[in-house]
Amino acid sequence: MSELLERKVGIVSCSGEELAEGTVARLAALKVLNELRPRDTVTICLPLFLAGGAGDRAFAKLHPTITVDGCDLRCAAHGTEKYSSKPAASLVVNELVAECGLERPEGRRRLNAAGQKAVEVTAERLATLVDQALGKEAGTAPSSEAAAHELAGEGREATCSCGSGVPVTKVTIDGRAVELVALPLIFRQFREKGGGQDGEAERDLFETVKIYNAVPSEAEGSYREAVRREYGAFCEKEKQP
Amino acid sequence: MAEYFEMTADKFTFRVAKDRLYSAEGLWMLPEPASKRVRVGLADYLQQHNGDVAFANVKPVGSKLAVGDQFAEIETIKAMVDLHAPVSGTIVEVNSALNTSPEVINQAPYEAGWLAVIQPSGWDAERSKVLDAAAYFAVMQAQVQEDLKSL
Amino acid sequence: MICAKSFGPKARDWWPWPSWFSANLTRDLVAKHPAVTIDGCKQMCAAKMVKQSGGTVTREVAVLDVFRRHKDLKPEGIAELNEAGRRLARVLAEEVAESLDGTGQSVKGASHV
Repeated sequence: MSELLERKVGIVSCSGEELAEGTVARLAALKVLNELRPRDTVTICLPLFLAGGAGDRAFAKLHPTITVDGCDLRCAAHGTEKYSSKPAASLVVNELVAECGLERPEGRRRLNAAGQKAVEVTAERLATLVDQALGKEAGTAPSSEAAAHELAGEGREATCSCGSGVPVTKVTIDGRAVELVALPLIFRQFREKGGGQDGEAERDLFETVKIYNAVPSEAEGSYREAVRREYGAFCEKEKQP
Repeated sequence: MAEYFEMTADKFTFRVAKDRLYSAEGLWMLPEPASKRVRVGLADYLQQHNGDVAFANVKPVGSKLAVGDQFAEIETIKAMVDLHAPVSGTIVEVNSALNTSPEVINQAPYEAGWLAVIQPSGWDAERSKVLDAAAYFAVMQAQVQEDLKSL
Repeated sequence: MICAKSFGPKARDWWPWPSWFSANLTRDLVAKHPAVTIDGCKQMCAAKMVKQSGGTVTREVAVLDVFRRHKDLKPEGIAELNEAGRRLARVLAEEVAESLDGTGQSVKGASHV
């Protein structure tokens, strides 16, 4: 039986060319991908993502994704939300620069010293967000409180939702057929970690389902009820010989 | 249409066509029963691993090969890769599309992106030494895991 | 990528394409004006996105095709290109600029895979 995808975080940076902040976004993302968190992160190519890249979109749907934008247009954040799901976190370089009281970066092709500093600060912030998304504390192993979200493993055969094997369950929510990915796998791991069917456990379970599935905020109650129902059916089935 | 074994690692999906045989290096072989020839190409993982092909050079028609002889090379922006004959024999056909559109190797590695057709000289003996699709899939999975660990 | 309002040297605009996604005005401009797209790999995302936005691509440039014609300029480096990569970029830029200068509505040497 295939297991859930190894937990990694997708990083999507903007492709902005007109502002130095766009260059900062890209260089910060590269720093995290190549130096700070190479085993925990995967780059999502924004152009490919927007042009319909199935692998990138599937990855962003199944893994937490953090976007890094240069400016308030927030192209990476909007694109990720539109074609996949709401980012786990979003950074905007010009906001971060203001927050940290940094000098505004300059130079689109070659950043000035202020730009280099902005890259360092953005990369550090991004690395922290990666750790948070993975339930880690500042680069340590996942805490016991985060166990419900710890779904990584060793030597996993992974499959993706674009036709290659991650289970997709059709459930009826508010009279509509909705596809939710990876439910049986989430349920199995939840049960194996001692997850029950009481209110608090079901809340934790639903939060886990939300990591892998976009849930519209206005329909959250209906989705929660559907997950509760499916989990109940799953538990009943597991009891059968 | 071929069926595939599939593996996803991060955002990449690698496919292994079930209807053909493989070398451990990552070349596929498709015997053609009518002509008793063997068509050869790159498996999906090998083409993805090396990147977009800028140049592809295959030895000319008439070239005689032993198993393991270098019979082709591909050059991508990342690397120059020698490819080794998975079967002994004589090259009887080379994919002419590789001259003008070598990226077909990336776009359709199991279909239009074939490299060459070989008239085998020792197929009966060599057949048992190549990998079937399931065995190659296991080899490929191990290669992918190694790549991920090297990050 | 470049979106050219005309092929005159003074009427050339550079549109970073992700902003198309966010700004309808930009997408409208792309839909109304011819474009030259420059793609780094064979996924050809810039060309795809212009076409999906209703724009017209008068020339698709694939860096790989330019590399084929200048095999000695092998680019390396992501955040920082090596010298060969920078030279390849200059060659590519000069080719595109030549095709934009004074050729009216059609572009010679349009390349598309």
